[in-house]
Amino acid sequence: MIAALLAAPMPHYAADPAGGFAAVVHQSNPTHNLRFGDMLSMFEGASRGWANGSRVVLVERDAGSAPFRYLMGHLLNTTPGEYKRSLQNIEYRGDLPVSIKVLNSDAAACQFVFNVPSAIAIVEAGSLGSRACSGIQVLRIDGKLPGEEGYRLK
Amino acid sequence: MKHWFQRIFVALIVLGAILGSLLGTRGLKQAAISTRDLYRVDTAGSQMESDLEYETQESRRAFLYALAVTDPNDQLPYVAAARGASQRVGETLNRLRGLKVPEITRNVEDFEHTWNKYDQARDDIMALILEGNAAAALVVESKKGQPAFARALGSLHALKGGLEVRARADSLRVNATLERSIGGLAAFVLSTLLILGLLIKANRSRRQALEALHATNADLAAAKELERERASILEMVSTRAALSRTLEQIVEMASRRDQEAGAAIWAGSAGEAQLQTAANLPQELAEALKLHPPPSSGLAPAGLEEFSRHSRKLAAAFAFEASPPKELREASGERMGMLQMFGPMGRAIEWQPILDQMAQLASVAIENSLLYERLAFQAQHDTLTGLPNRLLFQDRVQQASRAAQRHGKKVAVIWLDLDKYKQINDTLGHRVGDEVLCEVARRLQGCLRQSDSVARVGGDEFTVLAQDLAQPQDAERVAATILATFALPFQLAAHQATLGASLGISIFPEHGEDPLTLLRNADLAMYSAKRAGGGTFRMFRSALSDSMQRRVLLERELKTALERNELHLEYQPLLDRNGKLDAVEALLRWNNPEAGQVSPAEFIPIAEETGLIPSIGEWVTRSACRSAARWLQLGYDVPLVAVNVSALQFADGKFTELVERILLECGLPPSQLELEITETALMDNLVGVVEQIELLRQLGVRFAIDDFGTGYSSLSHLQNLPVDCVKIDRSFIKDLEPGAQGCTTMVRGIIALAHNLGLRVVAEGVETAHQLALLNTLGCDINQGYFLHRPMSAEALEELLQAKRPLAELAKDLPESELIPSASPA
Repeated sequence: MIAALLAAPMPHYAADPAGGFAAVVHQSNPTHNLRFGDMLSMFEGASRGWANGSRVVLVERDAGSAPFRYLMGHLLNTTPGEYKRSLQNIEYRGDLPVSIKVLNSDAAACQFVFNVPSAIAIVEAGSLGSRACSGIQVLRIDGKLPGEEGYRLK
Repeated sequence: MKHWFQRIFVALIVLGAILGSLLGTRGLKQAAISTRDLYRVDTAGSQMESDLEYETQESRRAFLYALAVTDPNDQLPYVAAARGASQRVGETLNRLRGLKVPEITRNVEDFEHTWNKYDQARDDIMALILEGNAAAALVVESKKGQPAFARALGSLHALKGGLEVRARADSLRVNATLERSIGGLAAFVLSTLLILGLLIKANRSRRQALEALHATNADLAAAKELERERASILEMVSTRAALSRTLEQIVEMASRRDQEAGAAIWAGSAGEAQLQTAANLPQELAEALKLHPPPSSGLAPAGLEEFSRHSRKLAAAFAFEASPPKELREASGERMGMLQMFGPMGRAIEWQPILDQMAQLASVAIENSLLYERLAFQAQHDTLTGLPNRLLFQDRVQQASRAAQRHGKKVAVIWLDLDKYKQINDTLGHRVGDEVLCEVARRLQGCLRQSDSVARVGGDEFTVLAQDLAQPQDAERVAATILATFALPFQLAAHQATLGASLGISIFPEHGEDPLTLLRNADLAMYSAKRAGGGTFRMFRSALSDSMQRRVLLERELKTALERNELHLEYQPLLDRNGKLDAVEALLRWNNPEAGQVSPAEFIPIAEETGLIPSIGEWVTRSACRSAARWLQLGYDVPLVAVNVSALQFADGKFTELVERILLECGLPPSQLELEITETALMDNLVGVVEQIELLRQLGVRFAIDDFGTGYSSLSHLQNLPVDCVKIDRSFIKDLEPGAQGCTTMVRGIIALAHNLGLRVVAEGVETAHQLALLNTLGCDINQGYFLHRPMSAEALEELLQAKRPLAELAKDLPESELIPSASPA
């Protein structure tokens, strides 16, 4: 899976969308507010469990998508290659591998989150109004929801 | 009653229809409800269960696909499909729950519960799959997912069973309600059919009634038209339209009933029937029928058969068919006509109704016509001899006079009176008398020319009209010819006798220019011939006296005076010397419209000469006896009623029987009847009369000699006469005046003689007080005269008797100047 993710061609990303991005989780996930650093830690593979003890499943968009580029360029400040190697290092260290699901649309990402209680995904905030994203929970990041003043995923 | 049964029957059917319709409707409603439930619950439930089955399987299938693939992008659609199917399962369950079927509530809950369990397990497994933990997913699937799905399927099957049970129950209920409703519907349908049947029948009856009404209206119109035509024909009959025209109308009326039918009517009787009308027939056939009269009258069928056969033969020659001939008969059975109808050959015509209608009207018309002809004939003819009567004769004299005037000729009227005909009639009877008259009529007709006429104008009086005479002597030759026919003897019953006739002749224009004058003068001339002894003729002469004319008048009028009630009686009281009523004498009076008051002295001799005196005398005797009996019953003191009798009344020797019968009839004692007979009459037939007087006297009837002293008897005969009283004739009393010594001596002698013979004496014509006083002095027993009482009517006498006033007083009260002598009573 990781190989497929990494083997995918990297498209040239356009400017960040004006609406920003949102972190979404399963409706049943007891975590409603996440600190920005904790969120980055989950995507970096450093933090791999939720408060209820369930294993974090990372949902990422395909390499050319805006959420993926935003994740790479703004949040993790890395490149896809670097990111791939850092995750492989975790496996080499003998730790459990980071569970990453690459999905090719925000709708699929939302749908995935809808079906997997421990999953977390970053999708464009504009996709939240779609039917596919209706049954999931949008996390507060540092107490802020998308569109609120001081929200950091934009 | 039948009408009420029908109404009750219809009401029961209608009630049955209503009940049937109610039951049927209710059953149908229940069936509809059950069917709706069946559809709503069972069918819908079954569909939902089917949906559940499909969606569960779909969910499972999508889930298994998701399990089979590894790429999350491929897995997600299957996961969504599985979740979508699960969502639809939930929705279907909600709809199923919305059916609110108690029987499956538990099954629904069970399935929901098991399906939720499976759903939960599947979501967990799908999460593991999506996480990429396929091994764990398979483990969980085998441990939890598959069993949960199996349980869900079991619940689903239970749910399906519940629905099937419910569907079966509903189906049974629908069937039951349908079966129940079938009965009601069948009753409803049956009742409706019955009502429809009744309505159809009622409609048919109404139509038939309407048709019958239309037919009746048509019949009524036809009957009205027929009645109008009948009335029109009867009006023609009543207004005496010509018979042929009336019969034509009748035939036309029949032709209107059947336009192709024609008819022929013959009228007349006794072989004289002639074709009166033949309408709506070919001219040639009508002509042929005219030459084919019906058989002579009678009931023999052979003649009719022959007539019918011949008619048919004639008709067949013109391609016509003849009906049976219809006889038209009078009430007496005499045939008066014949009727026959004709129609085109080969056409069935119902003859009888039309024949009957025509026959009825034709009979009325013909009978009326015949009756009118007979009446007209009877009005102008003598029924015994069939000769013209006086009326027709006068008419013929009138016509003959005019013709004679035009041609300068003369006409003779001859009056014939049979001599001694009355004797034949009285002795041999009326039947023989009638035969004599008929024979005379035949002989007169036989001896005269065709142009002359004979008439019977009275009992034995005939008149002859001889026309076209050149001179009066020609009439005398006719009269001589007539008299010659009387030379041959007449056959009277078993005997032969000769009979004479007296003839009088008057000539137009010499002896009169009108029929009445000519007849009167001929009559006078006949009287002249009769006075000459009969058996001859006399020509009228203007020298015949007025007295003769009066005599002829009286003689003619007297014959019918009794019938015309012109005779009546007056009564004159007879008083004794004390003024007491001794008797009343019945005095005959005749008041004739033409001759006026006729004195008995004038008409009694005529009655005696013409033989009328017996019938007149009988009437007088009966009337007087009836009055006397009445007075007796009323208690009036009228000792005697005196009646004058003629010696001729004794002639047939039956006078005694007659008087005896009258006394019995009236209930009058014979001793209260006194019959007065003239001295002359007694002397003429002394022996025969005296015998009958004796017989009557033996009965108690009293007799008096009337008008004593005027006859030819000697006083010596007086002692032999069977009388009780002598009435001294008024001529002796009239002369009993002062100085008339002779008369006084005569009267004294008569009185003395009568008294010596034991007879009472009555003085007639006492008109003065001197006469009365002298008669009393002479010893006269009874007085009668105007000085005492004038004759009076029976009613006046009754008033007098009722007043019980002394009868003599009236006379004494009268002034002398009023004692005027007047015409003497008979």
